[in-house]
Amino acid sequence: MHKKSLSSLAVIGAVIGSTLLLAGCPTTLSQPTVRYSSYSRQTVNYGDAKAVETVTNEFGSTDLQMIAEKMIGSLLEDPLLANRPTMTLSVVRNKTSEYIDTKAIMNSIQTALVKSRKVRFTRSADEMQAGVDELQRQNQSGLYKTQGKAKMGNMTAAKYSLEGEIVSIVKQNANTKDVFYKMTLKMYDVEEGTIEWQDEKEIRKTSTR
Amino acid sequence: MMTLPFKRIVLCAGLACAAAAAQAQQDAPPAASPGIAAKLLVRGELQGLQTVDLRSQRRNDMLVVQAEIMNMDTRDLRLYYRFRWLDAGGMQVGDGEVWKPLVFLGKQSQFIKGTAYGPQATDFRIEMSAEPR
Repeated sequence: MHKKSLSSLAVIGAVIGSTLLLAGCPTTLSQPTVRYSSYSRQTVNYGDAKAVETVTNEFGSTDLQMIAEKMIGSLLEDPLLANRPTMTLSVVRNKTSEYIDTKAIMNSIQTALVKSRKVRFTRSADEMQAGVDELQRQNQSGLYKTQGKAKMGNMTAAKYSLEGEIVSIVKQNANTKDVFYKMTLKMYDVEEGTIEWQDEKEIRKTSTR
Repeated sequence: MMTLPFKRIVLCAGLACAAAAAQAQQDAPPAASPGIAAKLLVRGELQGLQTVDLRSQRRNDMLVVQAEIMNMDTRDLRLYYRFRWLDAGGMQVGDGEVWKPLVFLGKQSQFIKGTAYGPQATDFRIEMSAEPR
């Protein structure tokens, strides 16, 4: 009788003990990720796409975003955009010594302007062929019924054209490198050939050893 | 024998300067008025940077905001800032701006300016974070 009560006490004690142990230790849940190897020293992490990037002093994501934001703000507050004019993207020349995808800057500007609904963009020169191909397919292939077909000759022409350039000045000595970028963007009236808006963004980056 | 009191004097002067600098930081709240403070989202201490003026207006139906920020300290500081645009319902307009770095020399004042991404923006916040340069 005495032995039985002792063993039941031990069982109860073990249950209580294990419960307390489990409650005390936080359980580690796996995260919904796929990693290359948990034992590898290589780590890959997602970061803030809007963070200031200073890995090197070459042209980077922060420069691209700051240039685009400056131009977007300057364009949006200009009264020329009051009547929702049509606009197209033209060339942005890269006159720096680096490879810079100027199209990426212009795409950021175009995205924000389109989302603001203050401008209507028409196809740029390098986007035109795809539009012409689709129009020809609808009108010349003989595959489509007349109703709902996009007609030839109804494209809207752009009133304004955005073009510009980016330049850099690099100065370097034994332990300091200074890079100065300047992006200039101009909005031309296509018909008149006049500049109706223009702005610049300057960026200075200095690195020391 | 003469060097020991001199060292003590230098040490005391250094400590006094450090205390004064720390006091200057404490004396400079991030905003010059509660109205300005309500528009700021400050991460930690601004190290002595203070928004002394804040104004907004609508241009071409877009909300345009300008803030004047003053470095109350003699040290050079680096500010990271970005504007956040909100619509009438308090929802964020756009994807959020990039953090922008801005260097302040000691006792220098600078303007920062932001333009909303769309006419639906009716309110704003300025997110700020600072570090010694």
